[in-house]
Amino acid sequence: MKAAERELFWNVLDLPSPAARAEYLDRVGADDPALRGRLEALLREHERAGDFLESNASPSASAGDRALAAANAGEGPGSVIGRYKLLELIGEGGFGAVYMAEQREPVRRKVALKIIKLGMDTKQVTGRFEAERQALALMDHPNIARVLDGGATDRGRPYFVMELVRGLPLTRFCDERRLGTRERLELFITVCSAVQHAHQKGIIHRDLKPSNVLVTLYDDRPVPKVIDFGIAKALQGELTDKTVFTRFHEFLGTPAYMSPEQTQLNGLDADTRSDIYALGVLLYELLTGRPPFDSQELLTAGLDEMRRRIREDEPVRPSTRLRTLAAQDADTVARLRNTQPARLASLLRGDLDWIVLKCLEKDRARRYESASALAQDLARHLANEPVTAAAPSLTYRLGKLVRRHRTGVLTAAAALAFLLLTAVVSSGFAFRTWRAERVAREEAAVAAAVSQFFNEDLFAVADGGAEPDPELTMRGLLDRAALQLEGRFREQPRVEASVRAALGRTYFNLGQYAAALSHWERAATLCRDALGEEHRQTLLARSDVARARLALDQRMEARELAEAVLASATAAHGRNHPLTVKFLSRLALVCYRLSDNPRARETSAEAVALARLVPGVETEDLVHAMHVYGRMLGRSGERDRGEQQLREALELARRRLQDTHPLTVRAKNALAAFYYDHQIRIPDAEQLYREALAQQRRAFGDAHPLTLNLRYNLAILYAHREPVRPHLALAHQLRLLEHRPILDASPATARPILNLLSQTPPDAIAPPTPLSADGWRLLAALPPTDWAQRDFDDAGWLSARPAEARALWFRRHFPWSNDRSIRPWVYVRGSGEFRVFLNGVVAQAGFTTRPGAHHVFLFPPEALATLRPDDNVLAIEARGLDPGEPAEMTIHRIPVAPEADPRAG
Amino acid sequence: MYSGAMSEVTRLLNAIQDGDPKAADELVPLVYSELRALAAARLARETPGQTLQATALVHEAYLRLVGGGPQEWNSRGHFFSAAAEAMRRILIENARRKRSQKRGGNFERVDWSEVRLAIETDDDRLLALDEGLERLESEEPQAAALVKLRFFVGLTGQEAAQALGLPERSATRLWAYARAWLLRELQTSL
Repeated sequence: MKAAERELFWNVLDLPSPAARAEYLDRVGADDPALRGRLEALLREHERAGDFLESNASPSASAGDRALAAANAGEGPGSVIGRYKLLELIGEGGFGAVYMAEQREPVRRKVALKIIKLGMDTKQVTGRFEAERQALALMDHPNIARVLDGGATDRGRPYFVMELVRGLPLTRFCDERRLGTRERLELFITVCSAVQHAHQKGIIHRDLKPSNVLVTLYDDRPVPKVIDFGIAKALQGELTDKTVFTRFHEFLGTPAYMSPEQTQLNGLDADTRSDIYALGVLLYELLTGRPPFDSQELLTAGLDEMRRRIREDEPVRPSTRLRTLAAQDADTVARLRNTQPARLASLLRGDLDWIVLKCLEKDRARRYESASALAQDLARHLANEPVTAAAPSLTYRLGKLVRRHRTGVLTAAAALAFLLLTAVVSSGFAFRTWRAERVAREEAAVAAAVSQFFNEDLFAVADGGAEPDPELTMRGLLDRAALQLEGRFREQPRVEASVRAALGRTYFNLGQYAAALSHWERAATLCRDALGEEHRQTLLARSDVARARLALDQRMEARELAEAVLASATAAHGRNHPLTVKFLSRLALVCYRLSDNPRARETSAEAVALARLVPGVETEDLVHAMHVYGRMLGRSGERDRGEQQLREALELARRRLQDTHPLTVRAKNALAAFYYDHQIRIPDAEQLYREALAQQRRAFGDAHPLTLNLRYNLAILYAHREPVRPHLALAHQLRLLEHRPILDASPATARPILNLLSQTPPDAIAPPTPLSADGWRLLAALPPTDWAQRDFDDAGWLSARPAEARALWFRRHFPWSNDRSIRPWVYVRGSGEFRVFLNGVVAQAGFTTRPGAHHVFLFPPEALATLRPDDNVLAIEARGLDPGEPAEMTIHRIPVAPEADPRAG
Repeated sequence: MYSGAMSEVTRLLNAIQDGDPKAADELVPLVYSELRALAAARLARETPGQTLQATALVHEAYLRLVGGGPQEWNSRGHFFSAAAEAMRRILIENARRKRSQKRGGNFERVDWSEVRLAIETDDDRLLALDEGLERLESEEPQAAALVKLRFFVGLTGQEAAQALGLPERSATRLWAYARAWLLRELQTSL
């Protein structure tokens, strides 16, 4: 209630005119007249509050500082320190005080003398200063204030003597003179040259900020001078966790200018690129009127949060910053730059944005390598030449996006999927060589439009100053892009086609086959209408449609289309063309999945052969063709040659891409599957599967179709290859069950997995339960538990026919398991869900699940609501799903309330 | 004696930093007695009724109790909050005492619209303000804390914002609201 009043009060204050305020109050009054009355009273009081409560406040912010300075005082005007006589106090700060002083010998001159306040280890400070002194003496630059001397006062405080510079801080000077952007840049370039000079002499400033860049007038010409070189280093010394913050605050002032690496505990790690960062902050403030991060906010956030922000938060582009300022503030900033807000923002957009952001890169290797490189880029900008700093690439921005939204589901590999997206966007250039110039230019224009769409529209959603959206997933990002696409490029079908092709590819890589299909189909139609049936892009789009159909298990359609595309490509480009090889390779894959061995062999063999002759065949196409060819060789009895193909394919992928690239992961899967099929090198196969599974999970998560496929492959390897490890097999199967909905959505991957999980056992003796044949075998191979031991010993069967014995036992003890209508599995991971799911029924029976274990419960369908007292629930509990976890498997029989029926009692 | 109080204050500041809510309550009396001692010494030397050096007083107390050495920055903010509360108590106590000596209870009506309050304004007004402040505290604790820091310690808007860990702009708005709220409150309650 009161909070609402407060907000309303502020809202009214924000309204510019009395009329607007009155209207607002009327609206409030309509709902709540009393509230209106209270608000009006508040506003009245606000108007005439005058200096109510304020007359007691100290006149300036430095009241506290003065008190502290007084307590720290000792030296003052008139005091003599070494060869210097203090004349007047010219500056004060957290570090101490600066005096104008007079030097009498060897020359008579006025100097600036900075006395550091108590609290520093004087010996260390002067020691570090002495060490640096030689280097400092080498600096000789008109825009650097020379450091002349240093030492300790009689009272034991360190001091430094510098060339006396009487001027204003750079930012203030520019504001007071209302310098335009160009003049500001020119001054800044001079500052860069000074910093460059120092860097060449091996001196890093470490504390560049406006108050350390003073501007004085010589003959009416503004001359910036960088002061305090060498002093930050002397003061910094060994920063510890306890002191780093305070010292920055107290001695070095503003954290807004601190580079990410300087926030590290071992802050001595600063190098010349830390100065580049600070120059970037300075430039940012010169251009927009404020640094990228607000010092006060950083300080109020606390040490860890401050560090985190400096290291992780991406600065808002200068032009964006201007646009998001309150109108009044923007007016002020623009006025001080002798221009209008809109004009200023457009001046900064583009080059200057990128130049500033390049200085502010978190990773210093990405910043300008030197201050002169920065200066040169600025000079280029002033001369209207292209600058080296550029809009960050799509993949680069994606990387940033992933960092920003790391709490969401964006994974590193989603980024990888996007990387492939850019490959599509730029693939127009690969074919330039054999296309006419004009066509090439057209392609370039389309590629640029596509790139712009992703850069501007897609990332605008998630980028910029907006709060990170923890819910944002790659899928969500793509869906938004798809939405924005609708009707956007009605006049540019080629652009829309390219964007859709790219989107489809990304969806496909993420395992979202249905969405991929719909984008690819639209792309294919658009391409055909705009470019004709035979055009490369039309063919590519149609071939993509075939891929999506194959993944969705529409095999016949996929095959028909793949054959047609190959025929068209052959007709248009001949056989010896990278595009034709691509379609051959893709057709081979379709035929392999369809088990059309002759056609699979024929096409894959041709693709592999052509790839050696035709330049420009993509690695992906060759690797896929080699997979199919290798498997075909294996099936026709040429096992060694087949293995050779698959090994080479893996080598190729590793060499040309990298070990974690999705294609390499697929190559591992293919080779391992080959070993499995031929029952050779099983330990190698296991190793390959596990490695691939780990990489795939890390990149695409547990639910990606390829992840599921790899897990399935690993499960059947554990189940069917010596040494059989049933617990591991079952454990992986349980994991697969978790993703049943995903399996349903990607039938091609799912088919064998679902078969495994739901096949009825082939032999008559086993009960027709939902447990698959494999499942039964696994059950049979379980280490005997107490109850099983007892029962089987009674029957005397255990040693003779263990599998059948156990199956029989199972049927005897769980008669309802014969009922086909039985609810097959309730899969529970961990204990929390278990209780919720079973609503306490089984828990009441005294069964507790173990955290971290996986549980499968078998029970009749009605059990969920009303479990009968004579019902039994079978719980299979498994641990050890992940490599390295000790594998363990237990089967529990849970009699439900055998002693007392709760409903009876 | 001070070294004992000093380490205790530092300990409490660290405890507040670590989120111990009780530590703030324990800190106030310590700061209170220090401020009293300092104020008494000051007042003895200077003209009676002189309270304008609240800021200097608090800073001095800070130096004596915490010392000039490196500190986590916001320990100073916590200290100021405690000092503001202590300062308020001292002044109110003082005003009450003086009033009871002078009059032993009086219902003189004060026209607040005419008042430009400073700390040296008369005690009745100070006490009325304090009552308003108490009500504000129950409604809007942060606004009340801001008033205490600015009025009783004499911090500037910027310093007070920092002590409270607020962006300056938010503090400015809160300040406008607090002042209007108090004035309205005082109008209606007197």
